[in-house]
Amino acid sequence: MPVYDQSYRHWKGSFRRSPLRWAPMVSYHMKHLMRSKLVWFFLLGAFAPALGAIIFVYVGYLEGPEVLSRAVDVLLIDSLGESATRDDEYRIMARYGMLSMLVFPQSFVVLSITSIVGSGLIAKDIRSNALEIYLTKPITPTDYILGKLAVIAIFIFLVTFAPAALVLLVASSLWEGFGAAALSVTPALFLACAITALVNGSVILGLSSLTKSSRYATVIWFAICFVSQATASALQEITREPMWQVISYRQNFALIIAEIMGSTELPNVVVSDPPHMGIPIALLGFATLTAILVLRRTIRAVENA
Amino acid sequence: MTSEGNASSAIRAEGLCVRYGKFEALSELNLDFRGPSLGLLGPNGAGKSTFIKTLLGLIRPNAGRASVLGLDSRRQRLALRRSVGYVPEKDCHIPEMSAVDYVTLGGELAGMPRSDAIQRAHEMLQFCGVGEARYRAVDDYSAGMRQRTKLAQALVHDPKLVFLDEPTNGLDPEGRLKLLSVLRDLQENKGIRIVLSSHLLRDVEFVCEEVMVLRRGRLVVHGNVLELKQLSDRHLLVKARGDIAVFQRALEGKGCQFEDDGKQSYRVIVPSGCGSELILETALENDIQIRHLKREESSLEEAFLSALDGEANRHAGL
Repeated sequence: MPVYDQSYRHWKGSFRRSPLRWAPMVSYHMKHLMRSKLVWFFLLGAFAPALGAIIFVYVGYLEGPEVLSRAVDVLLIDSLGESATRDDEYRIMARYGMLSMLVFPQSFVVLSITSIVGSGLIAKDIRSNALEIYLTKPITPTDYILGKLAVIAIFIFLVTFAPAALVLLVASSLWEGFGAAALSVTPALFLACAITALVNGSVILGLSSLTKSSRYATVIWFAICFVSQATASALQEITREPMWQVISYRQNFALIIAEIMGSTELPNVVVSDPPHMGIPIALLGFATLTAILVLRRTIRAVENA
Repeated sequence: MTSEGNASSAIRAEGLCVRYGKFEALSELNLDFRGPSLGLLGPNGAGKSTFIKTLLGLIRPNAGRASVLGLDSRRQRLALRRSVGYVPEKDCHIPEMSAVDYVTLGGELAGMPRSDAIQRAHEMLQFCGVGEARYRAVDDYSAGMRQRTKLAQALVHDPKLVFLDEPTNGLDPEGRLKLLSVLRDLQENKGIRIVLSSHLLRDVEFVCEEVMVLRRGRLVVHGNVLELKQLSDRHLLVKARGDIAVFQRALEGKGCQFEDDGKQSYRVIVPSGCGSELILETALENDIQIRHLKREESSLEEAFLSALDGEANRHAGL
């Protein structure tokens, strides 16, 4: 009698034919990453600026619209003319508020969460030969990349879009007439977060695919972010030319997000003399494409190994 | 195996060529396998893994085409992978993941609903003999347990055919026997076709009914294991004293192949249907003292391939 005769039964079910073939990978990684205290620290930390904004909204609600008008006057003194209406104030306030949240306090959180989540996503698979298992399942290399990218995107949305949306929601519910402004800014907010997720996700996955150690990917990631920032600042200081800011990985993001949020009607929160928008778009596009090509090459190498 | 299963072609390769630069990993490979189990034999670098990866659609052939269970390995590779399981040669696992999660993920990636995948994962881990440890991280498993976990993830979606690439590597004798028993059970009683790649003839013999031998990317032979095994049984190692030249001429006169291995011993391949008696008789006739006579055990695979070479040369009239 064969050793394990009793327990094998044929499966009678049918396979799902979903285009989201990568979804189980996301579910596994989410489950795994949510066990990390460090991830929770940054997730909760990302809501700190939102908390500040909510307090401001609440004070505005208690004190009346005069507080809001005073705040707008202080922050956006040059942007609104004498004939500005309450709707204009709300719209500008929503855009300015979201831009401030995304560009300044969230920037470090985004870089950190990208590194914590993304640096090991492919490096660990390479180290443990798990790529070979994934690639022999009915998923394509593109599905594999999408699955990994989706994990990073979810976390980036959790630290950017989620707190911002919370502020908009609270403000809409407390401030009469703010709902329209919140709705008008939401697509721009979503687009800014999506671009952040796509570019950061692709770059960190590209780095992760170059090594078997997530530590190396983390080091290179922060080196790219901070060395480019320091170089840009130094060159700007030396030459007095604002164009050098495009060397900075973070600054390019800030420029693009400001543009999406409608920088023309906002005060110069990012830089006093922004370069042509085509330059940061081209540079970040190049970084994304290069990272995806590196990823594809790594996967190809595993398939042929 | 059902008669229906036997009638259909499980693997078909037509003029399959795979090249890595100038190196030809597979060369003009033609195969039509319809049986329940196939052993892929050949030395390291023969092209066994490349052949399996080409069948799975991971490697694009430079020429020719291949199909598995009637599904084209390039154009229908996702459907094909839903119908087959694969146990890679390397130690593969997903870090920090328990065996049950690992196998469940395998099922979900194959397209199974989550609830079914979880249930099957438990069943398959039990079936493969790691049920007791299924909640432990695979990182902490022994080599044998990892091999069996890999088999469980290959079986979780109930494939019709399973590819196994050197599955007994690194296993102790007991673990090896257990794994091979499971494989034999699958193909004999469960109707799951097995393609077993190995450089160990004994493993292939234990599990498979058919065998194909690859060497330098070429298909040397494809046929029934028992018939082909008789060829390797005709390899004998002889140590003798006396006039060796006379002994050699006498043996060659009786259809044997004689080869001096330079260590005062001789490899003799006796003709089909003959055994060691032929050597003893010839020695007696020529006043040769036989000091040592046994079937060559150094590498059954080498003997097997040499025998095949001998056969090929004889057919070619060399």
